[in-house]
Amino acid sequence: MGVSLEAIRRCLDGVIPSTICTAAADGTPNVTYLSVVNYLDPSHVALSFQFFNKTRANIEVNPRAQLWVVDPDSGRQYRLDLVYERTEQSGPVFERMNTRLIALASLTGMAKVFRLLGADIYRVLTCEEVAPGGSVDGPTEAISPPPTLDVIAQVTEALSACTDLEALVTATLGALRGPMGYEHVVLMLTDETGERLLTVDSHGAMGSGAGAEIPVGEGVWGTAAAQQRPIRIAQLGRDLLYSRAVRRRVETTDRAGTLAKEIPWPGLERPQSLLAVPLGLRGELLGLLALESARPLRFAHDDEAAVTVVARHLSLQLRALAVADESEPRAAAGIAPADGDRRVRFRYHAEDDSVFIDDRYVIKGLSGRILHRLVGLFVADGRTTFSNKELRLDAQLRLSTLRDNLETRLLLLRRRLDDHATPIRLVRTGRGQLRLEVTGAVELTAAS
Amino acid sequence: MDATEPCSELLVPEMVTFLHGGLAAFLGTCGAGLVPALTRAYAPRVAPDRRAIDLFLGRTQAGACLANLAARRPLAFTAGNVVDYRGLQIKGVSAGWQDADAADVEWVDDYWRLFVANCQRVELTAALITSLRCRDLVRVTLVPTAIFRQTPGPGAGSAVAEGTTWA
Repeated sequence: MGVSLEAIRRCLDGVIPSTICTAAADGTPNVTYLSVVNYLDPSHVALSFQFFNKTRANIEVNPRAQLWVVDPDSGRQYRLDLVYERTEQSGPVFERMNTRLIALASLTGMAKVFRLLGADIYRVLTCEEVAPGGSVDGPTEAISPPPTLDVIAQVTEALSACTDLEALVTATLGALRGPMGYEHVVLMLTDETGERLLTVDSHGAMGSGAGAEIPVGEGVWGTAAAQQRPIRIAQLGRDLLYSRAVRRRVETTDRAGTLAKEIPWPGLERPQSLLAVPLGLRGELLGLLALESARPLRFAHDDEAAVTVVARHLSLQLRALAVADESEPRAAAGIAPADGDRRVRFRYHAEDDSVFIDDRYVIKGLSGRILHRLVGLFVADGRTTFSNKELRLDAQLRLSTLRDNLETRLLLLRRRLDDHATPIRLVRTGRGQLRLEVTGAVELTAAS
Repeated sequence: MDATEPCSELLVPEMVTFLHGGLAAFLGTCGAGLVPALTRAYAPRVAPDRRAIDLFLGRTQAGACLANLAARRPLAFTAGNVVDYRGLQIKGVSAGWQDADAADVEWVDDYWRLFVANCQRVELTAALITSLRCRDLVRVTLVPTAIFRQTPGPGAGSAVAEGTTWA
């Protein structure tokens, strides 16, 4: 092999479609473009098998194939001589390819159309650079190097030192943005049902974005969460072009009725690179780290590996902190006089637990219910200090007994109140301890 | 031209317009032992009677393919639009190849400008596009015998019946 497969992994990120040539038993060639070529190991690649087509028919009678790939940075081109070995219809390789396919299908409303039939595994006999036909100038943009092992070690150490969820979230976002060098980062945690992802913090185009919700299973982020597998996309624009080409074909067939609407992208207006890494422990989904960039090819496979290490560590810490929080005592009932100089209009709608402060929407759902309860106790008794433990035991909050998500909801609530600069703040005073700070006299109204 | 297979209605005018529209293209051949060989192709040019198509290859890049063509083995040519992924595959036989002449180079230059414009619409960089171009061109003449839809999705790979539309 003239060039190692490892050295040309960027060619396999799908920015420039690869081309494959196979031949029938009578020697008639067939040339087609491929949407996905996956690196497997130094001598194998996996190609997506989506349709029963001529390529498929050919390799069943003649396993030889030639693949042409292009480095999207330098323009260097490579020919790979392949021999088909087998098709996998389950297992990690298949699941990884399938997850990416489902995510893109979901974005373009084709979740019921795209289906991976198998991952075709080919052995690479030779890999040679094609003689350049023009000038090959090398990378046109500086490639951001992936984080080093030293950096990853520092980050995991910093996460280990966190003693509460808020500190852990702040440390994670700080590490991803700072030493790891990623521009736009979102941290989402699952809600009580495990069916939605709640943005608890983000850096980049969306500001803090606290409270934004994404259904598990929808779009790239939701699919990565549902499948509990990372998804890396090198140039979303090209993937969408491909998917929309398929969609246009489907629209002309009797399967047009299976198409759904395209999903608007929730983050950057025009992201090109995406990396979604789920947070989870022993099969339980805890959340998602979502990275995006306006630059194509921002995330290489080494970035995916680095963020995956951080995500695994973060998952362990999330679980450890949840256990520690449950053992905290009740808070002493602190009482503070209200500031009578200012009036704070607090309106609560029981039908969806939405809260408006001074006529501005703040939050809804369980976080809204918690805020209403705390403010109610404050108005009735002047109480300002609370503990997680008493909130867990408070029947009016109707917390899930199956999935304790109180810390996430409280964090989300604190972020939303801070983002909106409301006269009501929730301050964490210790592990499992909260203080309500109100600037003004509250006028509480509740509507059913 | 040594056209061995008449196919005047195979390539309909709509396809000609498409093929002349600044596409990315590849030529596939098959050698001894059923070993496939692939090379980048440039600037497909359909003859006025639509019975043949000229393709341009880089001589250095296309060594194995040119050797296979010399043995008059069948070939396949796929062309696709980088903007919307519409594509066609044309199978046929070679009617020979020779060095590109001045008129050919002019055709390839004009075609290349269309290709570059398409690539720029999908934000490929100028340096990347330039690196894909070959200058040591040979002209291969292909006589089509069958045409297939190559746009991804349902129907990809299906044959286009003679004289029908393909979109």
